[in-house]
Amino acid sequence: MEKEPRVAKEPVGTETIRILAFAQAKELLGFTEKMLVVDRSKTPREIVLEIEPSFFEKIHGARVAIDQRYASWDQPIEEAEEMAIIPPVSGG
Amino acid sequence: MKIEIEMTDKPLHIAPLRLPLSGESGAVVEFWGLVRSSEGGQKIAALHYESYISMAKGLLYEIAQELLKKYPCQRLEVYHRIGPVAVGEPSVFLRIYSTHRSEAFQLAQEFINRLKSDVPIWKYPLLAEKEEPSP
Repeated sequence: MEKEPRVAKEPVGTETIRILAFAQAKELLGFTEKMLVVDRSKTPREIVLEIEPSFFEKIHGARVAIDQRYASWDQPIEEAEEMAIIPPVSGG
Repeated sequence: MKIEIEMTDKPLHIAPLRLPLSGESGAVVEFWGLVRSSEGGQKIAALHYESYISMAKGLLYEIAQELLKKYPCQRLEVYHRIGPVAVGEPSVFLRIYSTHRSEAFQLAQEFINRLKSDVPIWKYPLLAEKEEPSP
């Protein structure tokens, strides 16, 4: 029996990702959590710049975490479910 | 090696060390991090701690595992407050049990350094006249 062709809910190569923003990033971007449909070949840097073109001029030294692990701003997000924008930390 | 990590929005009530111990540990090092009354030259009422808790806990655990390979100790307990913490109150507590003191002191120092440089926790001063955190 032939399989039913899969019906894509969204355009090919795109899927929703959860974006979390903390500390100054939360203030600058105006959200703490956002679901966004993104092209999976995009990098975190490209995604953030689309939301806020001046992000890296305004927040220096921010890091990004993909699925709760620090990652590169310049690697495509691929299968990631969650991307967190992490300004310089100050715990303790 | 036992690792215990806790992040809480409640005041830190740490049970005192229950002596005598079993005899395995020859040293116990404790560290309390407290909120000072001034931050950047400004008088404050409290610090407000924000965290990406799920990642912070995972990373604290990973850092603990990594450092325990370098400084073998028997047990590491870590408690970190989130939310508002008043001046004079503790925001962080560590307790390390080891055979000899040297590994415990070094582990404490390096663990806190890594916590401050890598773990997604942020603090903002709360001024006496303000109610909202000001990043």
